[in-house]
Amino acid sequence: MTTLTREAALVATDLGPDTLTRTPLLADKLAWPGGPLVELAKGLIGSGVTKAELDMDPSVLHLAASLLAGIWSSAEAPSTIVLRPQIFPLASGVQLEWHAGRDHVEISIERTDVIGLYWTNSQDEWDVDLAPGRSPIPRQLVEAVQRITQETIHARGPRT
Amino acid sequence: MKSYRRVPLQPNFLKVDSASGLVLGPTSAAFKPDPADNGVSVYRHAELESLGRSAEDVANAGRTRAVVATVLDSHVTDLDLRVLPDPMGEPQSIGPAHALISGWEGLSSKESRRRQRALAEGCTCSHPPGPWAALAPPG
Repeated sequence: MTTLTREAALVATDLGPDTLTRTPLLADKLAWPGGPLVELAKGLIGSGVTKAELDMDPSVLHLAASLLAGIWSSAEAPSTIVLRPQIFPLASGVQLEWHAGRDHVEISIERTDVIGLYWTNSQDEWDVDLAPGRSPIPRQLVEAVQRITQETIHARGPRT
Repeated sequence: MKSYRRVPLQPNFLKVDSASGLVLGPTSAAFKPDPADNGVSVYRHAELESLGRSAEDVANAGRTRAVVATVLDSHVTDLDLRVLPDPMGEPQSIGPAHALISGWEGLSSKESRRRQRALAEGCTCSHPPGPWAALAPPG
């Protein structure tokens, strides 16, 4: 099992490219698109998320929308081939999940200063706390979402 | 010894394999401790039996549709959690069998999520009886 602590992620972010090169769990660039909430929310609705599912605290929604936009951007997914997550309401936030075959991804957003990321491909698993806007989105997480998307498209066809 | 956990379907708390369309089981979010009492609400099988009730009564007790997950005491204790009796007056049919999965105090959010995930992965479907994959995916 491979685990990256929040502290390690933050240190890697702060120390720069040399450290990032030696830290293969992390992408080599930040992938946090900014922008107004309304624009990010439009992206979610375009992916198939319903307006009812967007009924959450605006700060949580902003983080969720920004992170999803970052994942989809990093995955270089065409706008018509993004796989919307399952969205589970939490008492003070939201949990986003993708599952297909051996790949499982869970994202928990309950606070504005940390996002919980968990993903596994049955052989390895990662449990990472991410500092929004500071920690790079882990490459392996993006790859897991890519694999789930491709497997889903292969099985069910693209959503258009 | 075992307990029953209601897993609501509205909103749905069942995760689905997006490729196969099969239900995989409850999301870990379904086992998140209630902030009010820092516990996960369950109903004890033995107490329900003494009341002449079953997992089906747990499913039908709420205002929203739900399926029922079974959690073994041994799994709870393996996670360094415990099941504490917490009998309630309502609903009258099953309230006396109410209990809480406790022991979340002082855990980091990451550790709390890990144990929620373990509970979700270790539970089985008791109502309707059968494997999770036999459930119709939530609409």
